Amino acid sequence: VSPWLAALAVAVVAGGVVAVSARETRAAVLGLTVSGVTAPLLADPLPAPLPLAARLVAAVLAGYVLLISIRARPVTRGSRLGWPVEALLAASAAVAGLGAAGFAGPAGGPPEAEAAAFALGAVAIGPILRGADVFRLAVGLVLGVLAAGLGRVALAGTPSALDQIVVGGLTIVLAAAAATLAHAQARHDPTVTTTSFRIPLDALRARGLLPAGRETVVAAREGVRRGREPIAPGRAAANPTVANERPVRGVAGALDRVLGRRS
Amino acid sequence: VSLLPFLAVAFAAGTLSLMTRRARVASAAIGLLGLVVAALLAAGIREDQPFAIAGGALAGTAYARLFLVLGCVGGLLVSIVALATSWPASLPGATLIGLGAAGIALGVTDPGTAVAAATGGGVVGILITLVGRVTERGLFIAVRELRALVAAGVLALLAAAAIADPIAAARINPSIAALAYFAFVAAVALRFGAIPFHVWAARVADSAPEVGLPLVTAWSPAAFAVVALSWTQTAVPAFAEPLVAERLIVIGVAAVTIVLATAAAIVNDDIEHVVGYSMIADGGVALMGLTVLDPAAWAATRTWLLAVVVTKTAFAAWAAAVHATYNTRKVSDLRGWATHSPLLGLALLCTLVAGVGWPGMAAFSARAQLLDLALPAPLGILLLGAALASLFYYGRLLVIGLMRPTDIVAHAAQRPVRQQPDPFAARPRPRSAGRRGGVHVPDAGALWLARRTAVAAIAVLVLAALSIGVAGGAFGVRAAAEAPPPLLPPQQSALPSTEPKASLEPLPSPSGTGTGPASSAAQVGPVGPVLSPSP
Repeated sequence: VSPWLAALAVAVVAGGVVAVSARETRAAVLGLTVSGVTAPLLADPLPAPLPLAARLVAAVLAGYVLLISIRARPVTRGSRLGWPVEALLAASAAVAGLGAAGFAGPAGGPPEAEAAAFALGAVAIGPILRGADVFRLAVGLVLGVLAAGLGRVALAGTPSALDQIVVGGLTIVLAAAAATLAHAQARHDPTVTTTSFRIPLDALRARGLLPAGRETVVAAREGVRRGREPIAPGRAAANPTVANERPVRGVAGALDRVLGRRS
Repeated sequence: VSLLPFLAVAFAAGTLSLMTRRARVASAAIGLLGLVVAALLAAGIREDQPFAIAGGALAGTAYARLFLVLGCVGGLLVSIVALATSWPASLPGATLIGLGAAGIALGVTDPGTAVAAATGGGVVGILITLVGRVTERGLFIAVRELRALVAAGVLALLAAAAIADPIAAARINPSIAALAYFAFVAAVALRFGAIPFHVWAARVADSAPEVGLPLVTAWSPAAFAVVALSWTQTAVPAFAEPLVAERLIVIGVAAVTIVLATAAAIVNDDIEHVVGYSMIADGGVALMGLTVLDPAAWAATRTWLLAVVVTKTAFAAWAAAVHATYNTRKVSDLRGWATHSPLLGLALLCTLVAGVGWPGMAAFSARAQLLDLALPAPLGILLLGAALASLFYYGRLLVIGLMRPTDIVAHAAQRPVRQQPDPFAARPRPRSAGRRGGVHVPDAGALWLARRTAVAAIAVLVLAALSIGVAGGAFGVRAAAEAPPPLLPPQQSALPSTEPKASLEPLPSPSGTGTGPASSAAQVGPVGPVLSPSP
């Protein structure tokens, strides 16, 4: 076992565990991106620089696309088991994968890749089978594709440059499709998921976890949920008790907040 | 090299069309123009030697040319139908990207890369299913579809990695080899929505617009199935085990799919469901082709896939046109539709001829041959009878169309043959109307509104005629289907072998002869000369 590859495998799996465990969507995207960036490096020999760059860019772009889609949904369900359980599950799967290296015949790649593939596959199964919301399902699916890619490295060795580019394209397309669905879900009603789970908006607001600029939209959505007149996102709220002003974003918004022009 | 211009145009125009989809006119124009140019470039694809690119290889084949040309022409005609009926803004863009991905899948020499490309093309098709205001049900269905697509892709990726070539197949653990075969075929069953994986496909048929069904449930799974067929025909014959139990399970799934999906299509009262279940049933026949490890199944399966996708495209376009004309999808409400829309009636008759066929037609022979190869005589004939029961759902629709019209049909607002709006009537915004040089020029928008149903019917009729041609074996279908998959030339594919001793020997083949890939792979496999270790 190479220490460098072992460290990379740990990084890949740690990113996956964070991605499926975190309740804050930005943390989950960060974990997914870490996993996506480190997974192509887990090969012996390393891929050529250009296809490697393509995979890295694809991983970052996939994370960014998912980040865009969750601006209206700051939280997800996360893992009900909690991150320690997910980490233990991943670790046990990794040990099983390490022990099973070469199970299909002469191995073409490093055993660390097989261990990481088993671990990512294990943590991805939950969100794929029972994705409480689209974002969580997207995390599971991207992790599943990464696990399949690592499995290919373990079984057949380092893929060709063309293969790296096509897999990078698949990652981006998958993230974009999932982001479109997640965005559509957020537009439909950010508090509703495909299961009975409801986002605890009041608790989040009390803890200051709702990002600035989204309170109007979320409050309007709550209005929809409570039977008030629906409004479009980003427009004036129908409820007079809700701030009837569209939040100013970017540098101007930051200056406003610093200068105290806005409450 | 001849494949590259097509890929460049398909991906560029498709991406541009999707990115500009909020500007509906620009997006549609880019997409339609892209489809026209892509069709022309696809027609220029030649059978050439694999072109080394980025460590892999791409090659044009006659089958890829035919598949892509028909895909682009079918996509263009379906887009015209969509323009006249219900326009999903993502349709031309997703079609172009899906066909581009199919081009890579059919042209690349590595099965793993081909699977990744085919999966990516399928994922893009999800965008078509989201039209207008997204409902909770629509979202749920799209999520299911995405999950099924990616699960199928992951299964196939792992199978292709386990057995990348005949060398790997020969030295792999037999149980793992059987598992890989089963995983790949299960992935194809998932993509086609074969029973028991049919739930997502049936719901998509209910939720997605009719014009989006061909890409989601026919073209994209067909490209995936062609990749699977190449893999099974080149790698699986080298297995040490005959895979009897695994093939029996798959044959059972395929047979159940053919029988139950055909029955569901016959009894269903929703034309979208009829289209969806008919596609699932035809996918069962294609699945049967993967169970036959004989080179004789190679050409038959590819012929069947090509005929099915064009026929079902015509069927889905017919359903879209009928739905838009009479504003109902219920079969019981559509009594008399054929007498009021004779062009659509003729189109459905052509689709029936192509879908059911008769002895001598390429598609009919392919289906009969596949079922005959997969099952012993009495069972094969029975299953062929079940497959031919598709005559009943086409016939039921035609018979209902000739009955006394219902009120819905009799009072349809837009009919292609009667009471068209006056194209010269005053319009709120007569932008292009007026007198130019003494000649009265009618408003193009008014003309389009007046004739759009007829335009849709003509497009459906052209598609149906095209499907008869393909099912009959025109356009060189038989020759293209018999051609082997793209293979690397020996000088490019010489891989360092770790075996102590190796000798060049032909692959063992169940029948020994044939024009399929196994016989060609005996000389040059997908990754090089087939080396079998000497004892």
